[in-house]
Amino acid sequence: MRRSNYSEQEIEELLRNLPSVTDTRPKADIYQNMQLAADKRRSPIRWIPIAACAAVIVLFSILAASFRMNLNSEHKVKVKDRNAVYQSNSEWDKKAGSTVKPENAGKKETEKETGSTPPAAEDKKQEEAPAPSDDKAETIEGKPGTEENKVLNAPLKSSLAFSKEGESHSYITISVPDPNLQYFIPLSFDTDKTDKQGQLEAVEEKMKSMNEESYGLSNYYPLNLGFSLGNEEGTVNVDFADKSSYNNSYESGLLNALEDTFRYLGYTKITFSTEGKPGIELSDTGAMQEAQLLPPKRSFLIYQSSPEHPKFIVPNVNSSAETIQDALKEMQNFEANNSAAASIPSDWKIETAAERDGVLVVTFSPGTLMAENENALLAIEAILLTAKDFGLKAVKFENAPLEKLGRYDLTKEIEVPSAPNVVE
Amino acid sequence: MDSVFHRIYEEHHKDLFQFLFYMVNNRQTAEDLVQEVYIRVYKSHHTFQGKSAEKTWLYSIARNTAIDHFRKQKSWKQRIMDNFDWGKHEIRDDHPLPEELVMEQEELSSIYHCLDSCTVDQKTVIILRYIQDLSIAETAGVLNWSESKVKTTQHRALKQLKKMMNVQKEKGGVRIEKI
Repeated sequence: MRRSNYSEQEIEELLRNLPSVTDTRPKADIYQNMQLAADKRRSPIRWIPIAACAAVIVLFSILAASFRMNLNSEHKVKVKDRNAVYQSNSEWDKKAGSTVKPENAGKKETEKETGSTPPAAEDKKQEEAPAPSDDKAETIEGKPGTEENKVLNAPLKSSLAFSKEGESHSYITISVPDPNLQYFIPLSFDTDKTDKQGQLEAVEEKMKSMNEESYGLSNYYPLNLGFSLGNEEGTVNVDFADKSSYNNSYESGLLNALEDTFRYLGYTKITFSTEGKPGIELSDTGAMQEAQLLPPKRSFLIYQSSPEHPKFIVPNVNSSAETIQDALKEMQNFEANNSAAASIPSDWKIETAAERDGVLVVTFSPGTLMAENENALLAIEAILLTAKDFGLKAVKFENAPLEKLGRYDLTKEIEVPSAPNVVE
Repeated sequence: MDSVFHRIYEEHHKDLFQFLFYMVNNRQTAEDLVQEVYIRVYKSHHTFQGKSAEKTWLYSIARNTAIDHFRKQKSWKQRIMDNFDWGKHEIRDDHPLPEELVMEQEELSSIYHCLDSCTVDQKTVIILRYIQDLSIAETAGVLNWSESKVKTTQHRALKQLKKMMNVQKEKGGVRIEKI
């Protein structure tokens, strides 16, 4: 008799012979337990909005009572002025944005004559307009669409940072994996450090202080790593102080996260060291001395871990696009899964996408519909980030159905951003 | 909720439970997690577009549920420290054997325990491929990986299991072969 080693085929055979395991509980019990768990989960969450609603109702009733007293005393005057108010109100509707208070109609008229108030400023005034104007408007019949107009005119917030903005401050970007380690979300943070050394220190600090879970992402940082400027221009060194802190599954994501982090900081090469000695041994790649940070040529998707968390524009880790035209197709045709979805709306008809002197020219077909909403803004920003990943400098949209979307003038060339997904 | 639950129960419950059981090595936990899977399925069923197979989609949810469970159970750093460098570690025997395995041969008990020496991704691939009998393409669909990544991970996992089984054999001799 002798002892022999297992072969891989024998291991496979043993695995296939593992017994099947069954749930012995009756189906009805499982269903009941599931319903109880679902109900239990709902109840503690619900009382918070209920309490908030109750507080709002109490506050509203106090305010309403005091306004009603004021209104009663002013009622006769208001009825006399009703025709004049109607006139100014319909002008307000036509302009769909400026807030004209009946009491201040004369004052507003003066502003209108001077023509000095730009539309954006009017929008701002509308947002800042005190609530009492709405209550007073109760005395006016038929003031349609006030709240609706406010929503429509709410400014679309961009999530990208551009280098022009970085004179007295800059942005650091840290790539954070999602809970399944499938997507890497580059998050950018404002910092007052503008020099390279200061930025690296800011990255280390942010890795320690950031709360990834508040964005719906994996609690990944801090890692036991040290960053320092490399010997060559554009090079950063990453020192693995304690190799025992990583295992296979984290290592495979780690390289990806580090590459994205330093690429957005403007580096072109990472050198690795382990406790000061050159090189690192990673399970996926083996021994490594350095990694070149070339334009990675990826498409970008929209990632949202759950409706309570923000949407982010993320690189498609499985992108197989060789050209930017293929990347744009991937971004439109991506089948939603695991919290990631297509970034370009399916009803956008892109006729051509061509590179001219480092500029991506995207031409829309006539008849393309583009709503002025968050999804459209994210699509434009995803295209800008994709252009950056392909090493391009700017994007020009031709035949765009809108002239302006959020901060972007779609009739002009738009430079690619310096940092994606700016968060607080 | 009613009809979705009953249909999924009839078609997939056995597979989902078995997958979760081998992922977490504990019947009670698997029972809790499969319940969680149903709740997640109910919440997101309307978003399922039918472009991938329902089975693939359900396994994907089950896997995410198991990963969330691991994350809650321990901080990841502790898990990494526990898992790192298996050559120097003993195989843990802190999971009681399922009753289905008690009567089986010693080799099967050993391979069941050796599965814990794999990383979460390796273990997932092994369970999907050899216990749940999914194809490479189906496994890639569940994990949202490329097929080549599934093959590489499977290869590494088998290598790891082989190494651990041979270490076990050297120590206690689970295997004596007649010649």
